Amino acid sequence: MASVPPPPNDPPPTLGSRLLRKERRVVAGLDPQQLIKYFFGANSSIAIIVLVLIMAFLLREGAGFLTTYRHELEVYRQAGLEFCDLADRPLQHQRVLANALRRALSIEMDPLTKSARERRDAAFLLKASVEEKTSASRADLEHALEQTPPPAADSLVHLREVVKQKTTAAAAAAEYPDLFTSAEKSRLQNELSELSPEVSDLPPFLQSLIAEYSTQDQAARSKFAGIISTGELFEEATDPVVEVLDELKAHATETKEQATEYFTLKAGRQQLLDAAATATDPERKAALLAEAEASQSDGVNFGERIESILMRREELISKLQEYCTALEAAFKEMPEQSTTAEATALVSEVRHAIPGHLGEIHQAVENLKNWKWDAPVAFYRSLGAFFFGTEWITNSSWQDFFGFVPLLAGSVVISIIAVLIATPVSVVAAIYTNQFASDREKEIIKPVIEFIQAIPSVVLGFIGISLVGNLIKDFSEISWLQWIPGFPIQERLNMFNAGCLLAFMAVPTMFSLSEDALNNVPRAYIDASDALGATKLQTVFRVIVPAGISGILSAILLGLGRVVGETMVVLLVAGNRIAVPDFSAGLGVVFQPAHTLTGIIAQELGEVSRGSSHWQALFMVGIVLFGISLLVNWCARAVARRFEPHKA
Amino acid sequence: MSADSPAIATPPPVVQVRDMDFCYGASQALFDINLKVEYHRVTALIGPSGCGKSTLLRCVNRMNDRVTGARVTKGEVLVKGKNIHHADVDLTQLRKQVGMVFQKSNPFPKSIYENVAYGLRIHGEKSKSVLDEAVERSLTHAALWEELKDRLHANALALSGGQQQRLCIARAIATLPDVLLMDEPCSALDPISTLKIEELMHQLAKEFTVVIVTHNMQQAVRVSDYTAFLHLGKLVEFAPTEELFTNPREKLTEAYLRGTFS
Amino acid sequence: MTPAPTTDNPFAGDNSGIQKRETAARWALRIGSHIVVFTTLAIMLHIFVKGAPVVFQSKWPFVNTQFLTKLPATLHVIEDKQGHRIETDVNGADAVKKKLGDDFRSEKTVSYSGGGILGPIVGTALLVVVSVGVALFLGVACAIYLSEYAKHGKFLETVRLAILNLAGVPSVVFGLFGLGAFVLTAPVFVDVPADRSVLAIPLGFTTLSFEGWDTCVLSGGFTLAFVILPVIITASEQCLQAVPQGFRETSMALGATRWQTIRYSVLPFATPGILTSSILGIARAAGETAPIMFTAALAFKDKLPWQKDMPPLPTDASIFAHWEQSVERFLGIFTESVQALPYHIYTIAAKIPQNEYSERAQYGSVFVFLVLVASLATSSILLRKRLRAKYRW
Repeated sequence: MASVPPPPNDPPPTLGSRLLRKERRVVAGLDPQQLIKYFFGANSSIAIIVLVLIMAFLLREGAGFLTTYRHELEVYRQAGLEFCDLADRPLQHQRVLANALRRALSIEMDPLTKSARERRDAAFLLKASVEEKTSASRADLEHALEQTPPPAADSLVHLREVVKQKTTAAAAAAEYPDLFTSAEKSRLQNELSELSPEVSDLPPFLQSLIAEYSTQDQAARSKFAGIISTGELFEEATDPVVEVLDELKAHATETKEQATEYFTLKAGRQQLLDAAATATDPERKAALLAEAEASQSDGVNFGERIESILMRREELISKLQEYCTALEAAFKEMPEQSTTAEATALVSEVRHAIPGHLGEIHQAVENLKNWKWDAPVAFYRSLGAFFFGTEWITNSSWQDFFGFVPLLAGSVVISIIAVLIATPVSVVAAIYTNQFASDREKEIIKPVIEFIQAIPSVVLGFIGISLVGNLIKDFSEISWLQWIPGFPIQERLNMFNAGCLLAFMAVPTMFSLSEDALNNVPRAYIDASDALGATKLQTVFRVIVPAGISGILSAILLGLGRVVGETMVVLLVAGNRIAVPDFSAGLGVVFQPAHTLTGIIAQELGEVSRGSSHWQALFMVGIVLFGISLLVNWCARAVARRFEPHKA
Repeated sequence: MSADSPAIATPPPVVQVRDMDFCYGASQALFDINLKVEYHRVTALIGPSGCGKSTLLRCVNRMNDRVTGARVTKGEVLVKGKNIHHADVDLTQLRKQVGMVFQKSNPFPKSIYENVAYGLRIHGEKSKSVLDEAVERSLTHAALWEELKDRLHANALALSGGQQQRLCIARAIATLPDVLLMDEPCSALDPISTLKIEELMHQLAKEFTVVIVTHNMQQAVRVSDYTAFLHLGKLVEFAPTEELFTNPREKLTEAYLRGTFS
Repeated sequence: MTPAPTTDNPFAGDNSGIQKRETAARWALRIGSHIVVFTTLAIMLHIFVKGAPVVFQSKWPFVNTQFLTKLPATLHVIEDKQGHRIETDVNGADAVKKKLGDDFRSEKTVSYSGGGILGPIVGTALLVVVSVGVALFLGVACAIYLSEYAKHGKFLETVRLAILNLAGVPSVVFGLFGLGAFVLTAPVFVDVPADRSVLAIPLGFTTLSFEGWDTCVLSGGFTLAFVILPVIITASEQCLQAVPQGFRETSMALGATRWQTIRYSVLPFATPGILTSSILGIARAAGETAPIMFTAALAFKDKLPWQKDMPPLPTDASIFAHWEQSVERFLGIFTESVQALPYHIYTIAAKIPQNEYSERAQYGSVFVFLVLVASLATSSILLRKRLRAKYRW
């Protein structure tokens, strides 16, 4: 009987047991599978972390703005700058009005002096062009004449000959406009042929033209003596006020400079003290403390310095009141009617503005009376001055203002233009591509529009400068298009130009997302509509587009987000004028230059020192931009959800 | 093989299919179909999956046109005596008069009212009173009016499955079509909803001519006056329903009805 | 009652107006969409017509090699008395003036418009390498979690929301973030922490000081990485999702762990797609200007990143010293500011007076830039198409 062999204690390793490792490795008390999972999990929160970090860093650099700005506004008040500005604001308005009057005058005088002026200008232009054409030989002759010792006589003769020849040729070649009679033309040509660098007197005909103009000018002036004297009185009326104000301003500026110096020293000293507190080396600590001690300076006694301004408060007020009387007197002499409609409009505009202007002055007087240098600046004031301030003035010798409105207005107007242009185009393209286009057309349209996304924004900005700006400008000068408000445009780089390019940039986003939305419309809806006998167009506009409307709206919003956040195009193309657009120009406002939220950061951040109020203001703008982008995203999601049809 | 037309055919048929072949690209789906559909009758198309019954149904309102390569290669389809493939047939007019209800209910994501009024609106009806009237009439026909008259402006997608399908029927009959095509209208519904729709079908036959595709033989028995049995793209037998189910003439039909189908 | 069959056509179109309106609307839609295509092509054509002559030439080797291999420099235009104009660089100007002697009339200098654009090209390449490296690492890891590990829930929703929002943050805000985070705060090892250091952790032999990397390739690259991160995450996740669920189930059924499944049954099939999509990220990173304005870019630099002045080593210097210097040289590439193509274009388009010479430099740079970016984008699109055809599960 064969004995059964005892089962082996160690079963021979089979393939299976070798593959299936029973024991689990443990690393640092954790299963490696878990570790891997945690690694990826931690990575997945990267987007959240980055968002939080963005907010944190923006706040770190920008949140100090409110205190800094408040402090600056405090100094602005205490040093008396605010006091001066109270009186200065209405005077600035006065300058605008005076300009309007001056313009009205020149419009009035223009028809009377126009012919003489044009003749004079044309003659001088001809002279300049002849001189320009012969400039090389003239320069040679001048050069020779200046030489010491003078060059040989015959070489001079030769040079003179050359000048003479060229001048004659140029004078003959010049085109004489029909402003001159034929006799005058030949006289002019003769005199121009005589031009030489050695004769400094003007040719007699030109002199007579100048005389002609001045006679006509005199005549016109005497005719419009009324308006001229009003204008002059109006302009002179401010002189006494300005005189006082300038002295006050100088004093205030000086106070402010002292204050700035003091605060800089103080901050430096604080740094030294801080360093001393942490320094471990006793020797270094002593040195730091000594340095801090040395930089000790007296504070500025605002109360004392403001006295010399306040002393003159009554004087300034009385001057202002005198100005009011002078103003009223000046406008009594103003003629009621002007000869041209345009001038009448301007003059009546000024006339209508006068009561408001007087009111402004009275208000200013009231404000001056009630002004207290030591009234505290409330914290919300700096916030309000940022969010509602209409001036963004930096690096000013007077006072920096960080008002957010001009930038916001620029961004908003540009975004509106861009969305208004991009929406119809991209939605139409999406509908056409999705519903009507043949496969071959699809294969062209889709990649081309996708390709737009790859064009770097700086390239588009460059296109705006080099191509689109000129196109718009040329277009605006076409005579039969003059009914469009704002034409002809003044600036090549303006909000409309930027808006067009941003629209182009927004098209791919809007197009792809809208097309997705249309694609997602269930096939069954189309079947149902077709079976009811709807035409293709009816199906598209009554069923497919309404069913995809939430997607389309959210695509438009996301496109808007792209437009608001775009930097390079607006920086290059928007014209970078920091001012609230003049909405009184109606729709023509779109052809004005402006600055934007994004553009201002890109343009100015490189040039300011860290921690200054300007730096902090730019980060504040960044915070607002970040907020806007989150808001737009939130809206896009909300819209997508709000209009989403109930799932069947 | 073609079936004889029923004996009672005194009025001309509303739909007549003559010797029709139908192809999807290179593959032929229907062979030599002959079929006559009488006014105000319910005609059922039955047959195993893929036999071409849906294709045949879709030939009647030319819904197959949208499939690239799909075309009638021989014969003709007459609706109201007119060859619907003739060049002067306006597709929208044809479909206005030949309504269709699909397998899966597909109301638009609009209000109940707008769903029903849709067909009239696209055919140019603007008058509010006409639309109101049509909506009420269609919903009443579809046995929905009592349930829904208080919430006509609620979203149609909020309705239950059976209600949605009846809404689709209401939508299809709002334009007063002569023929109503139904492509397995109950296949996605629960038994109670199915019952309601079957009841509806008898009512509808009073006003319209109904052609219904169904995979459910009992349903064909319950609702139809005539039944056509298709197999592999061929019309095997076409007869009054009772006759076809009690006394099939073809062996193939008999085998299918008994369930001993190879 | 049964209506009698009509002999005339019961399905006649009731009026032809509908048909006309249909056609008109179709054409309006078509024209609308073709406007976009036309505008795009017109812009491309404009840049090509104006830019190609700068880069290509009619003589062999047909490419203006100077433009592609030289650093940007100031252009000197010297005019002689005959009105001939001679273009040269700063070194050549004196020689030309000497040669002309009395014939010399005037000299004009145009900043940045001479030389070539090698510096900006190299700088952009470096920025792209850093940013895509960082973004791929973070993005793919994030995508793997989202696609393979994450369960539906609050966390996943928050992550998705964050990715969406991150994609919408304006690029200039990323610039501010990069400035605050990398230029001014990121940690470095130094011996003596600077005054501005936020936090200094002494480590004995050195100090880990949060004082920032200053403006350099690293700062710019990291900033750009976060700009393109959402693109990379979304694209990678799509590629992972496209791998059929069956692959994973088969692998799991064979007893593989989750990680083994990902490593051997998912990633190999998703990698080509991920890499292809990341090309789109490269194009995006190369094209951004605002994020690098304050973090990496310089308007002008007369050296390439690796041309750094180093004290000459003594002849008997050890291998170690040589090695150390090479390492320092290599690191120096990443710790210095560079020129970058988009910023270069901004500089020559907006910061210098415009004339015919600057225009030439502008169009040349724009052309090269656009060709680079466009070929990247196009190749990404084409590759994606091919991949889709190849991996059709």
